[in-house]
Amino acid sequence: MWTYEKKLQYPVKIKNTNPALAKFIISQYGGPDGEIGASLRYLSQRYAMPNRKVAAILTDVGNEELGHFEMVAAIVHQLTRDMTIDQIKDAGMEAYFVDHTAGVYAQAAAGFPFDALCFAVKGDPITDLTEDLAAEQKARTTYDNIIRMVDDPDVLDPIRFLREREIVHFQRFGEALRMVQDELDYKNFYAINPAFDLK
Amino acid sequence: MNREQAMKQVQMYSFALYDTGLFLDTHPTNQAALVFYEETQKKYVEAVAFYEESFGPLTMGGTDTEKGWAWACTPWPWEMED
Repeated sequence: MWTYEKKLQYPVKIKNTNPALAKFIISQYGGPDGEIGASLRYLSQRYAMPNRKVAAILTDVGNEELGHFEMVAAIVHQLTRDMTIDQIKDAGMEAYFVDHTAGVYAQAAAGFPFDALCFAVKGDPITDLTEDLAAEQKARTTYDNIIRMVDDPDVLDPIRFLREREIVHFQRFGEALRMVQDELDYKNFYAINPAFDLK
Repeated sequence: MNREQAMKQVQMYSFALYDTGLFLDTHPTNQAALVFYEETQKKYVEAVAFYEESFGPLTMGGTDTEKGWAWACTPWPWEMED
């Protein structure tokens, strides 16, 4: 069960309309390395995670990513809610505007819609946690690329917060992977799949 | 304290708890983290109580029905009110 809290995890308060920024920041909403993909990946991996502490990390990080999904939406919304037709044309945002007006739609910066292919669930703890480590680094690189192209401090502040969280999550997933390996045969971690062969 | 300041208090303590919680997931016996969690929990509960009393519920369950159904009437987090 989930409970909604009527607050953002970290404040988002952007004064200046700027659809050109929203056009690529939206990738962290519905893109291949975005927040909703991350959230659904971790929450879906829990069922094949026999170590309870590691299932806790998947639950808590997956839950936090849902909060980030809302923060990215708030950024996109505040950058676009008052945009004019001239600003839409100057930003090259006509195609998005025709399909979604100033609504927030889960798509990548390149325009393709959210795809469940991006949240891998393999049902093997080592495989899934290695995927998660890479996912956090891919999200961190995406935020690094976004930071290179943003000069509005109101936008940079929450983006920098989100980038830092990717690094903390990477650290926690590294510890989780070690916990899984500590319970396996140290001479051959791959002798069995602990999510399938120990039942 | 205005709404934005009260919200910042909630966000600050809530975040401190959440981040410490992630650490405790992989270090469940770390005493320093448990002590910090306990101390911060008290501040968080106070900050939530002050916010909800002054500005309305943060969760549906925080509703005080004597004040009506504020849940659906107070600003949404993305609105940039204040």
